[in-house]
Amino acid sequence: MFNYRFGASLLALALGAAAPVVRAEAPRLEFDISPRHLAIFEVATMGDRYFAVGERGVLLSSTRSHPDQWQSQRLPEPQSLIGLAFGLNGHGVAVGQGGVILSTTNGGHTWTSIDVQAHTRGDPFMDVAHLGGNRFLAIGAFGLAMGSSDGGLSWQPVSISEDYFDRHLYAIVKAGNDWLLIGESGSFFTSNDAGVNWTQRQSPYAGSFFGGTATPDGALLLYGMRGQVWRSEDQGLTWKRSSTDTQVAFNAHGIGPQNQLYLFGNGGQVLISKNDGRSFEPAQRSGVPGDITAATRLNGKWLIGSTAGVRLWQAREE
Amino acid sequence: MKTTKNPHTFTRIFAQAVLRHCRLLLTIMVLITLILGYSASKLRVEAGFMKMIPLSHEYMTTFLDYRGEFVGANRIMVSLRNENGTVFDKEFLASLKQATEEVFYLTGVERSSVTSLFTPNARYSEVVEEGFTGGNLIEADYSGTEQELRDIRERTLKSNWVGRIVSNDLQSAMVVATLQEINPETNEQIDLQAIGNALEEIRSELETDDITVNIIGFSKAIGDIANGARGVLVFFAVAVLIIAVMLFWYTRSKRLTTLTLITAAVPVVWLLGLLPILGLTLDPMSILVPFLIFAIAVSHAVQMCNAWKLDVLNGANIRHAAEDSLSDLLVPSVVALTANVLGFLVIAFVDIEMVHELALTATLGVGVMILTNALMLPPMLSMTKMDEHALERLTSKGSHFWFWEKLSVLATTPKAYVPITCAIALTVFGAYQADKMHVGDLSDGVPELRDNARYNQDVRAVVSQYSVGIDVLQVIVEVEGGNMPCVQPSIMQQLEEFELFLRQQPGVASVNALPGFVKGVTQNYAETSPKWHVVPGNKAQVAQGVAFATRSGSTMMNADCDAMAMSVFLSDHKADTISDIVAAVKTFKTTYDNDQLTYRLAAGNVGVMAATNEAVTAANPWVNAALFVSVTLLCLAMFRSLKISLCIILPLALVTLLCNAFMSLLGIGLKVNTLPVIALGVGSGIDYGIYLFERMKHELDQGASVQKAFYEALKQRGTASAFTALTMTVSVATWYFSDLKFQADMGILLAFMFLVNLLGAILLLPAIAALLLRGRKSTLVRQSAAPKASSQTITSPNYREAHTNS
Repeated sequence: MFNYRFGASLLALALGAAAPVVRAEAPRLEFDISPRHLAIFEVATMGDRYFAVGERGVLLSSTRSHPDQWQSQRLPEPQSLIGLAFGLNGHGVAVGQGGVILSTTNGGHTWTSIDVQAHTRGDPFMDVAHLGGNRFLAIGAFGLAMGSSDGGLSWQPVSISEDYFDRHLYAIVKAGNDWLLIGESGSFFTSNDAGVNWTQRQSPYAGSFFGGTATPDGALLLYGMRGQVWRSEDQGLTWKRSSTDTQVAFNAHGIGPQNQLYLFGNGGQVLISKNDGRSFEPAQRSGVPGDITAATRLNGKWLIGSTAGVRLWQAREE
Repeated sequence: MKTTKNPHTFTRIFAQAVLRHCRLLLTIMVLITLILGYSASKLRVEAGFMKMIPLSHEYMTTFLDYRGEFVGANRIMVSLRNENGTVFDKEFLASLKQATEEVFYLTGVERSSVTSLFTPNARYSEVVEEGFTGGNLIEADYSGTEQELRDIRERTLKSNWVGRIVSNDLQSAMVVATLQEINPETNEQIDLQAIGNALEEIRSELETDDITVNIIGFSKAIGDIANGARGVLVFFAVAVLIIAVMLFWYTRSKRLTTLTLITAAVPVVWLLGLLPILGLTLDPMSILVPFLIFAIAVSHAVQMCNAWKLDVLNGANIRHAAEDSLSDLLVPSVVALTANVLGFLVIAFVDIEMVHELALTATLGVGVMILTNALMLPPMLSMTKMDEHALERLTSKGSHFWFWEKLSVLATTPKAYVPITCAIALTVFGAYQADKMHVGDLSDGVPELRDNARYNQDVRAVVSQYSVGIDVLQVIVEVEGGNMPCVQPSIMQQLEEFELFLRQQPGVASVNALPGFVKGVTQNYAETSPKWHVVPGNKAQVAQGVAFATRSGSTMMNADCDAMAMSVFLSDHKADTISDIVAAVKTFKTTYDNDQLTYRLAAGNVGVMAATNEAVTAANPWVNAALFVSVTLLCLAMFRSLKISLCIILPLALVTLLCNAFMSLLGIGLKVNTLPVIALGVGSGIDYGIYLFERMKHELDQGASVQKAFYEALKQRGTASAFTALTMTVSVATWYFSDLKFQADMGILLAFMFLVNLLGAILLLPAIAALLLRGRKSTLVRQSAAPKASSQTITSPNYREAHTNS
């Protein structure tokens, strides 16, 4: 047996800070990209159009009427795009590896790269959210956080914590009227003023969370590595672990038509809870290849993004 | 005919000399045959991997440059399937353990490469809150308790071995091993066939009603091919029997049948005896050559016997008849055999050692046949006593001459247009169909073996149960720039682009390469968050992934990490699949080769296939051009007439075109095994034309009409030609039933070539002659008003006799 500790982020920070920022070379050869043959990190909706972002700066788009017909497009940055969010009037933001931010003002037809390298120094973004109005918040590795108040056109550093904070931030989600910021090693922040001020909260678990949500009944739910799912009925004061009977990581969630709570995880795992997230059962039908990164409802099915592409999936339980 | 012969020509003098010393010659021949027969007993049938690849091809240069660094070319996989449950079963695991141990102790197996659930290199690791934990999938103290079986199942599911050494449905598990090139104990090349046979023994030990064993790997395939090649002897025997029966039916003489068979067998013995002396072995791929030599030798011996028989029937004495036959047939037979030699030689344009060996073996065989045919058969014939009884039976022959007479009308102008029109129609059809001919393999599985062969069934079983493919194209990416250049994010990102590009190509099942591995490691170090399933942007994190690959004994990069092997698993190895992916890689290479990175094709079994297909494609026009130019020159030298040469070459060209069309219709690809067939078919097909026209020319020179000349040629040579064509067709057609697919393919194609060549010679050749040689005819009309009348002007006893019979 072997057993060793590895402070991944610490090591990377120590060594990474010294490394110069390398701008990736733009691809020169155009080729068709199949929705099944690239890693997808996020899916998002803009009106009647569906978008998925993935590795090497690929953006896929489809429509509600033809959700299985994806058009591929290479954005101006060849970095893997991890987060995607749309706001009002066709504004949208994609963020990703190498600390890149791209913005659109025409509903995703054309994208412009915003240079924020002076601040990110190549550290990757992990998520971006539309906080309302023209405001966006992008978060990432080593406590990286930047905000925009002009629909994604210009970006400024944002301070999440008054104390020194260098943990990876993985997700920003809206839970009821609050916003949650979730990250590495139990990092957990809430905001009740739409992301202007953040309060660091006590996490029930020392490991990392990758996502969270408000349940249909109004409880808070956090989920992450090793099958960890925690539920709080008092706005995060006390927590109770939900049973999952699995040890894979969960990365995305969704609410089904009968208020079932869905969790989507690595190895194509899908869990379903019919008791508002107190306990989860594996979905009868699996069969989504790869580690699931994102899920959203589309025409009564799930549109699922994973490291093995984007596809429609329907639970047998529905 | 004798009256027209100058008694002082070279052929006459040669024939006389041969017959004068016939006892001496026969003694020498018998001695040589005995010596070479002894030597032949030492001949080895041997296959070699390096012989089968075009070593000087660009791709193979890459392959050879990195052969030591990236293994994987020569792996074996022994998969056990539990038909009634999962692999986590005490009985099943006991069998798997036994299989692991037996593979481990096989001679030629690289011990450290052996991987199964039981080997210490099959580890699992998992992320826990404090970091990583891991261990062997099966602990050393495993005893088979229920709890242990549950633990093994859990660990296996957590590991990344599912799909690799445990099937996706958890019902099968396999032992994987890499073979060494050289046996370290003996310093000799490892014996692939011996390993193949040893694997078969493992199968017979372990296979039960509950456990199915599937074994795949190059050595197993070679073993099965070699075993199939042994079955060739049966086909050889069957073919000889068929030939013997047909010969007897044709000659009605035991003596002539025996003589023909002996004359045909001697060059085969000589050939097989010469190979060990020259330090050559017989490859399973060229094991058919001796049989072809036999068939060709029969064809020439039949011509000689036929000529001799006709002379004897016409009252010549036996010795004079033998002398005449040799004198008459020396030139056409040597020219025809030279054409055979050329047919074999031109395939050497394919730059693959095995093909060179095949060309050499076959050339050698035909070479010795020139000797034996001229120096052995006539002396033997001169000593053959024909009893009255046999002569009586023989005289009844010739009753079929009415058929040749009917056929000879094709050599008159209005009727000639019928075969010409058919030929033009066939040319159009052939050109259309041949255009669709493919290079390479058209089916999945190992192409040398039949689709339903056990090996190919095993391949399908393993490919369907596991995530591994067996058709791998490896692209080697060379990187310039300092120490361990691959850890630079900018380099790894370019490789990532290449990996993404490869995954998009049709026919690609998956890609296994360093960027993907680094992504997996990065994700694992980040507590398995898939948002870290990326090539990280800083050098330290990339280095972390590369270091992990090094520790796990990865073969995705070399030790200095300045060369990476990107393995592209293809869904099959059909010719189109291969050429598509190769073209795609070339496009990428053209765009992205730079000072730092060079993308090089190719290693892996598909790399070898791509190089082979390209070598065959490149050689094909040269083979055909060289073949036709040389046989045309040969015809010109012999007949000194362009028109006559055209009469012989045009039908051959049509047959070659039709053979290509036939291949495309049957789904047989142009490849190393089938390219020689066309060359061979042309080489042997020209026999008919040369033998027929040599006779026709004599008649034409004496002033006969084309029709008359053709009729006479048919009577004297046509019967023998038709007989040998049918004999060879029937005997090669029996290969259709061979276990080896390439043999079956060659059999069908050769049968087609032999038969259609004959049809070309007796149907199309006279028609073309009628059109091209019309000028001569008009001069003949002045001498003799009608063909019927002209035949009476000839006083040769041959013809008198023949006409009495007709």
